[in-house]
Amino acid sequence: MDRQIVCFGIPAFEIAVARLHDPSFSTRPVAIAPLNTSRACLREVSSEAEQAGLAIGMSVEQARRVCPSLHILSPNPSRVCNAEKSLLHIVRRYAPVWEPVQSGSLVMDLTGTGRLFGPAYDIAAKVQHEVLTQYRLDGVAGVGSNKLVAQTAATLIQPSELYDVRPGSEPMFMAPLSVRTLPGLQRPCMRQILLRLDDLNLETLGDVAESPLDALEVVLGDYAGQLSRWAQGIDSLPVLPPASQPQLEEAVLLDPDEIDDHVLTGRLLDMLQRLCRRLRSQRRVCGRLFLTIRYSDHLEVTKHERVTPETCWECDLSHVVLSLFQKCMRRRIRLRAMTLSMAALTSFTEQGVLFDARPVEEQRRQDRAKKLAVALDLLHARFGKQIIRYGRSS
Amino acid sequence: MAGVAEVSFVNLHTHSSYSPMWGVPTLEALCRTAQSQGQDYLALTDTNGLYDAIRFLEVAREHGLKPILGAELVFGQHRAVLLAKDPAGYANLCRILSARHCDASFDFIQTVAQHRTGLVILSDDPVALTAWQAESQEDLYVELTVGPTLPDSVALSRRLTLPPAATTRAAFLHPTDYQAHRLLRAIAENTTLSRLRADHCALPSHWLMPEPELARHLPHVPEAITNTRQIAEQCHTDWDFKQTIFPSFRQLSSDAAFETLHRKTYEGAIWRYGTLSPIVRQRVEKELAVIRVKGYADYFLVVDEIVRQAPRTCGRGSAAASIVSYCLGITHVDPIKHNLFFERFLNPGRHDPPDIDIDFPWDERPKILDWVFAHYGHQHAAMVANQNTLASRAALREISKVYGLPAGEIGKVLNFLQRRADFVDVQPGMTVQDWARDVCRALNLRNPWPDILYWSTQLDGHFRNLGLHPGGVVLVPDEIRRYVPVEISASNLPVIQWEKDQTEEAGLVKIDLLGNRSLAVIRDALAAIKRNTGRVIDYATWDPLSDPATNELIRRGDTMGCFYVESPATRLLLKKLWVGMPPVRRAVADVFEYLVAVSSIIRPAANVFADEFVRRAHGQRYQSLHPLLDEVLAETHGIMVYQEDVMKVAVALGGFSVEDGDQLRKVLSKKHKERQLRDYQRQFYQGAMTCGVECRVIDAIWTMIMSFAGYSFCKPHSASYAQVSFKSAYLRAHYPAEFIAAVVSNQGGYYSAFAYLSEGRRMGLTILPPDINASTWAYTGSGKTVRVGFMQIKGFQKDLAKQVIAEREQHGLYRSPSDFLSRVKLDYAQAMLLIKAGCFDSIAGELTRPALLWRVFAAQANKPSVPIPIPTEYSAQKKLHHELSLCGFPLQCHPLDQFKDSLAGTSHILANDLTQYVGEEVTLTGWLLTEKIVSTKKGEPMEFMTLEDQTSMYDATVFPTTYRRYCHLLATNQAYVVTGLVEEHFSTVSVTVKTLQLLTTGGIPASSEPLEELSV
Repeated sequence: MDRQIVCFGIPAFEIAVARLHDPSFSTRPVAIAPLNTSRACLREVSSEAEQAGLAIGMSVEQARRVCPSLHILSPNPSRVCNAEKSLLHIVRRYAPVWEPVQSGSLVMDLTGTGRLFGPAYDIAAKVQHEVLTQYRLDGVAGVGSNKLVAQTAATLIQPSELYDVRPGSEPMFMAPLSVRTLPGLQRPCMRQILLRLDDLNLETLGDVAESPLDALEVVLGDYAGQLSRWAQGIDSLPVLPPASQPQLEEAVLLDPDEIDDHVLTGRLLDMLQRLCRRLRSQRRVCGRLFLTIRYSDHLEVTKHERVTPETCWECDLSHVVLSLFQKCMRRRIRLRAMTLSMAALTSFTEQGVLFDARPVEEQRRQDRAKKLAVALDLLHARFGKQIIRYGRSS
Repeated sequence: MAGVAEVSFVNLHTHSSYSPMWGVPTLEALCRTAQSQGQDYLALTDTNGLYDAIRFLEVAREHGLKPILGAELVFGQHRAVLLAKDPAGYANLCRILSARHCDASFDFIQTVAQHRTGLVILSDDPVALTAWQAESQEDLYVELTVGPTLPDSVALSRRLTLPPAATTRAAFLHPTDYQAHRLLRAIAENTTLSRLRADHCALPSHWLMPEPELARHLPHVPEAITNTRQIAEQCHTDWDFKQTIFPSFRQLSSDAAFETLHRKTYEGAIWRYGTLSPIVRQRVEKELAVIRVKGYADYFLVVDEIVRQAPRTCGRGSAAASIVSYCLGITHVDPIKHNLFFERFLNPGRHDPPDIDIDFPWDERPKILDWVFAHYGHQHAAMVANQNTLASRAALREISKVYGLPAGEIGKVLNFLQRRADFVDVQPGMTVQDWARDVCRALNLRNPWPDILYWSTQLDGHFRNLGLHPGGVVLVPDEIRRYVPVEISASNLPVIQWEKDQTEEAGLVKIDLLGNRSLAVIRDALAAIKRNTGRVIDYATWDPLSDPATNELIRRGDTMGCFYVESPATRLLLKKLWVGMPPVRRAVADVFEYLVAVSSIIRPAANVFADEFVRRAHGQRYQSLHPLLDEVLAETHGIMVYQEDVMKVAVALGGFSVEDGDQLRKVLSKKHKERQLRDYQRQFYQGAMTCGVECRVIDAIWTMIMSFAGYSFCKPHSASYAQVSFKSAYLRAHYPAEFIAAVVSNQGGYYSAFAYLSEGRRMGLTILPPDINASTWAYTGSGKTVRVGFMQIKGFQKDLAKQVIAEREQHGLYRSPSDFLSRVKLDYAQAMLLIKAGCFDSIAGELTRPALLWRVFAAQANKPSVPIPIPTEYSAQKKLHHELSLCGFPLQCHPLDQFKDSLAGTSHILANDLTQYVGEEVTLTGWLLTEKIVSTKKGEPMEFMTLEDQTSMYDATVFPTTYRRYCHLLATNQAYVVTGLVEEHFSTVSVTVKTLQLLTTGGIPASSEPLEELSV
């Protein structure tokens, strides 16, 4: 059976939602950026702002210089979350399976729903219409026989428009497009592939599709097959419903950026303490710790370590956190943000070890640390988090 | 201040800023503080060196301190303070320090034991002390310093029954300076303050503690303090380094050396002059007499021997005033014909050693140095050092790294600070912290920049490491390591610990063997001429001074690429001089003499005199400042142009002796000699007033003398270089293709390769792209074409290029890309460079560049061969992009051509037509070639720029107000739209800039908005 996939999305979703709440923004150049820090970057720009020369990732300071009439809005996650729920409310009526692509954009698999709701492009138009009438959000819809084609079609049109790529016409549809339109080719790990395509002057997907596969394999290796299929509009990836992995996370934004090890490790241990408190309150233990640091120059480093046995106590995890910090912090550059995550979460088992091999002094020290942690949990629960803290960070 | 008699403690262990990345205080601050503590002695013991020993002697004496020379020897876990008791001890100290730096098998205990004669040793190292005590306990002390190890040191002293000596180990002057020390350590260790290990730093107590404070910590060992005075009184403090140490020529006696020199000089005189006129004979005898009295014969002979190792050299500097140098072939300017003043080079009263500088083609110099070291041996020869210090920009950069700032931000802010920090005035009573805060506030720089800026001013000038002087070599007759500590440079040459000034002040004779790119340009161009035309030009007998085309080229100021006279300022001055000169004067004026004058008058503080010189050269009548100067300055129309004019004027008007006049000339160029300069000024005013000169006139003359501060030139130097300039100009006039190719190939000129190629196009040459069958490594010029060499392709390896060329020369031209690939093995990356640069275009046939790349890749893939398609050729835009990334500039078009679309709506004139718009405001486009930032008398920054469009180069001036608004946009190799007023001065036109707009290709246009006015 031919697959019928629709990609529906609201361009610049956060801005569109913000405009709903304040129509005075509707014709002005608007961008979304965190305003709690002076060094923020734009994370979404309106089409008017784009025309004025702004782009996602540009610093707020530079953006204001380039476009003095720019209006910058703070992100409003709860409002965006509500708006997404509203979108889903409509989408769920038609799509048995849907996959979120990014905020305000999702892919629907409508294969087999033809008899119930009609052809895919009709459903896409209906969704588009209902979202517009019910929520005044103007969306784009791409229709195709797979995710790649539907998503690509959706990027080529303006709000209110619908692009239907008929089955069999995929190669013709993809041929004039730049190779850079393919999803994932902008990722850093694909830089080599892009460079090679550039060297060979294979600028459009048509150029790639026309090249013999074995000749492509010579220069692109294993990736040649997938690229060649994509260039012809062939994509067999299924639409995957969202899956959630249980994970606890604490992030800290350092303002100003910081390089002092004592301050940084102090902040990390504070984060660990809060995470452990949450673990204990959920009666869970963690089996893996992740630390991500972001340097001032936006380079991110992530390291992780397995924790055996699983635990929920700071005294067991602090040395893991410090070791992760040493592994991550290899450059002489200030840090802008740190994120500590706990994964492989499982339920806490009461059964302790029958024959504890640790020295008695060590056991006593750990028992004392655990009792202290429990006492602090109680104090925090009763009087708030600021009532008592370790004196280890500024 | 405590009285001298009350103080019994002497600081025997102190570090100045010349303890590499350890000591904080400058010599002046250290001596001043020691003096304020009532000290009468001071020992300077920098870590593993005597880096500023000679300066220390001078500064300490200025502060009334008796200087003790020493060093802290540190090696692994061992350490000791070594103080020189006498000259023999000093020689041993130098030997120990040299061994520490040079000997791979250095043994701390054994080396000190071997050379401890004449040294006082202080240490708290139990192993070393025990070993040394076993031989003798004379002059051996246990060092006691405040800190956690003090009790151990006291116990060690008692156990070994060695006398104790208290030290402060001062690495900084006050406890508050500890942060500066930690910053230095963090820079040295490439780490952050929080990661800096405590055992890699001094203790907070290692400051210059006064005696009462120190005594408070040592109530139980009072003799530790009194012993310091005993040690100091044993040490030699009356150091004298005035004796000149000459190299020895083949171990000849001084009489034999002089006889040899005498013979060689007369042989050379006959070679130079044919028959010897009485004037020549008289001059030779006069010079030889001075050389004999001063004992310089060996020196001349050694230099002569070195010069003979290369066929093309240029002896320069004041030595070119010597007929002996001329006869020996060390220099090439006839001092009699050009009226060169011998006393500038040598005079009987001159105490410092003479200085002969020799230029060699830059790529031949390493061989010359190898010869010198092979011939004289590493025991007798060493390079002079450059003492690399943390200059303000480096200090800012390094401190920023310690504070963890990313490289991008550091570069941006440094550029910003360099251009704009001067905009913030320093108010009276303002502290450095206040200034740093105000600058950062004005420039909108957030924390931690105020701290970084403050600390950079504190660490500015700190010694970091030794580098090599560009060419200074010291030769001694016996053992170099007894005069000065020697280290081994990165290039494996021995290098002394002193830079040129201390070397000279210590009596060591320096010979400068310098690299000169223009000599290589001339050599390469002559070789190309021989290759292309068969014409052989003999460098030694070639005299382009009488060539009309060369003279005319210099008169036009068309000297881009010509050595020494190619800067925009010199070219402009040549035009001003010659274009407006009345024909009668022009007909008789000597181009060479004027070229010598023009190249000498271009110096920082002489702009006003340069214009006056031009007016007078054009025949404007002038009144001499004083009749006594009429004869002295007749040659230069009453303007002081050369360094020796300072001497002559000081002698004629100020009643100076020739020696004093020479000293005045010398102190003018040294910033740290301000006190001496004030003394000479007083002497000059008194002398001139005695001659009845009016105060107003003396002021005017002194102002002219002060225009020689900073850098200036003597006539022999300029005349030597003007000869090379003439040779370059001759080649440019007659063999432009060979000349331009040689200029670009040897790199290093005043302009970029692109600018020289543009000039080549304006000269009617065609620039051909690199070609696999036609290019060599260097550029090649022939007839009306210049072929780009493989050297211009960024990343292409020289060895590979040699292989490509050798294969081509051996087995014939490459017939096709596949023929090339079968004959030369190269990887994809290197092949890609050649293909993208278009090297295969001439033999590719139907294959496009991407098709070639695909084939190269396939050939190297080790997979069964498959049919490879032929993709379409790169677009013109993409080819241009490749040219820019591979060559740094477009080869086939002008860089401004990239902006045709964005300039379509902007009406602008062409630079070629500039003369038609004098007095009018115009708009031009321009590619910025050079920029020179200068300060006005008020200290405001402004800039002189040279730009070019598709038709011509033009000069533009950005005055302070405009500069303040647009400086953030300025950088070389960028395109601008320039609006400004066309002004004419001495028949030359330039543009006074009013507005600037930076042009960019694609992306977001650069903001051309003027920045808001700074307000503090």
